[in-house]
Amino acid sequence: MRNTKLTISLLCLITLVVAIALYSTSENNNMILEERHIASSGKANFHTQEVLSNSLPRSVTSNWENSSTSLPHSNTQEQRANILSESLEITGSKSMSLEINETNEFENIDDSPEERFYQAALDWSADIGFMMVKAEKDIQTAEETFNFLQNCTENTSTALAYRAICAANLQRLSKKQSRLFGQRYAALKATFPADIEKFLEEAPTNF
Amino acid sequence: MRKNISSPKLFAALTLSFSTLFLPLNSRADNVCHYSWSNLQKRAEKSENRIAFNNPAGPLNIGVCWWHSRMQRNANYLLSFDPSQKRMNEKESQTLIKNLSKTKTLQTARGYRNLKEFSTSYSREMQEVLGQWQLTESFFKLGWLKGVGPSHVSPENLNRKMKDLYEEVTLRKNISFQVLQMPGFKAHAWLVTDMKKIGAAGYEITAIDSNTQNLQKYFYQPGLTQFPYVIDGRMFPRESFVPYTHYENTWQKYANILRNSCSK
Repeated sequence: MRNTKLTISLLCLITLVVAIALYSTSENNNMILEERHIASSGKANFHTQEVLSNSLPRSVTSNWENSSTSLPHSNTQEQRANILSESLEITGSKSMSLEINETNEFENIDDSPEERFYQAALDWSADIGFMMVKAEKDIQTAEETFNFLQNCTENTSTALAYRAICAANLQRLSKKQSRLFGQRYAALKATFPADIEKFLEEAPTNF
Repeated sequence: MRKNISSPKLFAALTLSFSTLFLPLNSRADNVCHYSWSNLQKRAEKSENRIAFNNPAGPLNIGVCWWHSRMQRNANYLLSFDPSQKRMNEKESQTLIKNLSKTKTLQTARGYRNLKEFSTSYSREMQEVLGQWQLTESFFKLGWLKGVGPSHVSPENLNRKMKDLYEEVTLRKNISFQVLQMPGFKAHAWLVTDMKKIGAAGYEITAIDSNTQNLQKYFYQPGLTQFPYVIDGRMFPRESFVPYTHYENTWQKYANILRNSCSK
C-alpha cells in the first residue's frame, strides 16, 4: 500500500516536471526563432499613385472615424450612411480605386483619404452583414434592416454605388425572408429607380 | 495484499497527472509575434490555422474565393490566439472579424486556440463579411469582374511567371495571393505557401485553395501553357487556368504592422 502511494506520488512528480520542461522548451523555441518579421526583399514595385488628395475633406472621414463602432442602429446607422454617401459622392467622380492601398507605399497611404474611405466602407459593409445575420433570428432586426435598406435604396440624393449595395442586400433579405418581406419587396421593386435597376442588370451577377 | 490497478485512486492520480501534462499545451497562446517571417508561411499550412469553412457562394452567388483567401492570409499574419483568456463577447468578435478584412491591426482572439476554432464559432458572421467585402469591391470597383489576363499563355510566359512566383515564395518567404484566370470571366484564387524545384526547371507548388480544407499540390513542367484545375485529386479540365499574382505589396503592410506592434 505504501509502495503504491509512493509510486503514484513519484509518477505525479515526474509528470509535472516533464510538463514544465515541455512548456518552457516550447516557449523558448518560439522566442528564438531565426528572423523576427524581417520582410527581406528586393525593391518593391510601386505603382504611380493616383492622387485624390484633398478630394475628400478631412471632416468627412474624421466624422466617420469618430462614429460609433457598434452595430448599426437608427441614428448611428443613419449618420454613418450619410457620411459614407457623402464620401462616395466626392470620390466617385474621381474614379477612385479601392486597390490604391495595395499598390502604394504603406507609410504614405495609411492616413490618406482613400485609405480612410476604404476602411470606413469595409466597416460599414461589415455592419450591414452583421445586421443580416441577426435579421435571420430576430424579427425586429429584420424589420429595421429592411427599412434601412429600403430608405438608402430610394434616396436619390446619395451615390449610386451606395444605393446599389443597399438594393442588393434588400433583395437578399427579401429572398431569405420571403414570408416576411416578399410582398413588400415586390411592391417596392416595381418602383425601383431605373438607374438602380440598370446598375444591377449591368453587373454580371446573380442576385 | 496486491493493489488492483483499476483502483479509483490510481485512476484519479493518473488523470490528474495527464491533465497537468496537457493543460499547458492546450491553453498556450499562439502569438503571431513569436513567429519568424518564414515560419508564418508554415503557420498557414497547418489545418488548425485555416478558416473552418470552404468558399461560400456569397451574395453574388459566384463564390467569394478572392476574399476568403485574403481574409485567410490576413488572419495568418495579423491574428494571435490566447485560449487561456476569457472568451470574447459577440461584439468584440465582430470587431475582430471586421478588422480582419481591413489589413490594419494586429489582434488577439481571446478564448480561442486557433483560427479553425474561432471561424467555427463565427462562421455565419465571417461568411457574411466576406460577402459584403465582395459586394463593396464589386460595386465600387468593377475591375475584378473583367478578369486579369488570358487563361492560357505561351510556355515562355508561364515559365517566367513560375520563376517570379518561386522568388516571391521561396526566396522572399511571402505567401502569394494569386488569381487563377479561367476561360471567360471565371476566376478563382489561392494562396501559395511553398514552392520546390523539381528536376531541371520544374516546380512543385503548395497552395491553400478555399474550395477545400486540404493543402493542394500542383506540378509545373516547362512547356505548359496553363494548369488544369484540380481539387483534392479531381480534375476539371474545362477550368484550366493561368495564375496571376495580385496584392503583391500587402506583405509590406503585414511587415510594418508586425514590426510596429510586436516591438512594443
